[in-house]
Amino acid sequence: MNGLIIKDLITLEKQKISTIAGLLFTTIAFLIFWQSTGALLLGAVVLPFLTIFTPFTFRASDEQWKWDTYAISLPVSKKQIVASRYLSCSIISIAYFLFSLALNIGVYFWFQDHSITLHLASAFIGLGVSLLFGFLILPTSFTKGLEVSVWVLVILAIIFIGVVVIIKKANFDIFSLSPTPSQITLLMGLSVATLIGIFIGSYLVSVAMYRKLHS
Amino acid sequence: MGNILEIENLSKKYPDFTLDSLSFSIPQGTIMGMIGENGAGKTTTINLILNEMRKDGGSIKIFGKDHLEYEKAVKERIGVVFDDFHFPDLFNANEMELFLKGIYATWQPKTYRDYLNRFGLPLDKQIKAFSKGMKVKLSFAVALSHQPQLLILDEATSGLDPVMRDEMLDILLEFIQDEKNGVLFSSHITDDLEKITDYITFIHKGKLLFSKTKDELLYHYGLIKCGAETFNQIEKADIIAYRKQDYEWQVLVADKEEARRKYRKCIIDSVTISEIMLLHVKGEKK
Amino acid sequence: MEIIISNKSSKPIYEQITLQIKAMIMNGLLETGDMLPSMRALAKSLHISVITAQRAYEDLQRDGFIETVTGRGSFVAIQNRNFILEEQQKKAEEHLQEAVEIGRANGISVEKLIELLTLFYLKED
Repeated sequence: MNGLIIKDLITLEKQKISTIAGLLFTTIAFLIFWQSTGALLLGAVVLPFLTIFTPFTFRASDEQWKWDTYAISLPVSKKQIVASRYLSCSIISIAYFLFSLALNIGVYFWFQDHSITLHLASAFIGLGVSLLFGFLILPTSFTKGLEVSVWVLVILAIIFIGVVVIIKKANFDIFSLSPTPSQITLLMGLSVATLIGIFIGSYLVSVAMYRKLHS
Repeated sequence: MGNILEIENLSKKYPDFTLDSLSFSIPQGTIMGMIGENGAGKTTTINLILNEMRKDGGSIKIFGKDHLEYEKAVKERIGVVFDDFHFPDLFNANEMELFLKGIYATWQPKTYRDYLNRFGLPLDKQIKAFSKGMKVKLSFAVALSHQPQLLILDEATSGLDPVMRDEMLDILLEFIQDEKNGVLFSSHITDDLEKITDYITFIHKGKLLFSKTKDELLYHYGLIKCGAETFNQIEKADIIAYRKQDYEWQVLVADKEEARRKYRKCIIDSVTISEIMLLHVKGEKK
Repeated sequence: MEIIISNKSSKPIYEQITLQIKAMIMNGLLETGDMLPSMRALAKSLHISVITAQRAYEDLQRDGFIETVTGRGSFVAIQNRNFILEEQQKKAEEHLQEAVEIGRANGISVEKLIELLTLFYLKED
């Protein structure tokens, strides 16, 4: 199964220059325009948005070289093929998260505008969003091909923007919130639990669909 | 000597195609040629062996083990070369190895390097820049570098020029120098099959027509060529298949020598694999 | 050692091999105890199937030209009268074949041919 992840990582490595350049450019631009708030935005919104393209990159590469046909000859189970894809995507999400974490901590010490809690929350929310999108997209990206998955992505993006707009309309000022530690713990607990639930559901659906495709 | 592959009553039903209780086996140390028209069921058979699709019935044993129960262990020992190329364009031969090393427990870096050298394949050039022939050679190198015992070729030599095809035949014959190994060679290029295969399995419309040693087909089967009058005298039991051409009748018989004794007025030729295939597919049965 | 195979010949490939190896043994090109290539190596060199090579070796062994020792390989067997006898018999067969063909082509009956053969054979005595 290591080989499957190595394959995905080599695939991504092929676009490392454009990825890193894009990442640096976006980061610098956000920091110049919004300073410390830029880091919060990057962590919670922009970086997760960048990671959700990962499943597409993998899928596009797979389709280009007819991976599914070749994979049947390899000593790996269908479950492992599906699981490895979840792992690869999670590794990328975590890599972006580590970058975001470092950035937010750095920005906190540099600007000291927002509390460290907010900066850390930005990074963690980003990780959560990134994983959430990954889990929602992966089942379709496995079985329905690239085109359908792009549509799923578009729908998800619309929902996401919708939520943001509603929050905005409600005149909700996130910076004025001062939740108690117990509220934060509860919120974190709930988020993690939801995420795990979605992961399990997503994985089971992916395995079932991938198996059905090859039956 | 046991069988490297044993297929018994293999069945698979599709809305528009049925593979109907197919049985054949490949003894160790031999090459099995699998022939049949496009859509006859060759690729379906290979896909069922590899469990790409679930079989509806029958059993498949590889190295004496059930192919589902021991799927992973069995696949460790199978090398497959597909008809069109199945590796990522942007990878190079080196990166292919990084990936496959993590897949096969028995991956042999030295074997892989030796094949690359022998085939003149660069390690660091993107596969995108490879010619069709180089890609097929890389497929062979990859398929042979994890000590496989069963090699499955799905139309693997079809796109190659005669010189390269010959080189690949060398590779196959080298592979079965080890008596524990075996090859399933699906191809419509009957020339290649005629040279090196030990057995021929003929699948037609999802059914097994025969699975015999190639020598029996080439040296025992015969093709009677005669006029209508003589054709009517040929015993029904002797006819495997026949067809009428513009100026002659062609009749496929199982025993050339016997036919020569029985029907002295006729011309009785030896047959080629492609003639046998053609008569079965295009001809009629009496 | 040279073995030349024709794919166009009406003679089966295993027969072409046995004939040529027999000829080499009869002509002394291969001597008693000489080792032959393994069945598989021969198949590989000639680009023929293993079963064809196996058939050739089996026939050679059956006719007493070679001996196969498991794990060691195949060797030219001790020559004795039987070989030569058989070889001569082959020659005779060829001539008889020719006679039969002439007979068939010209309507000479098989009885007549047998009669002639018996006559020729006994006249020597």
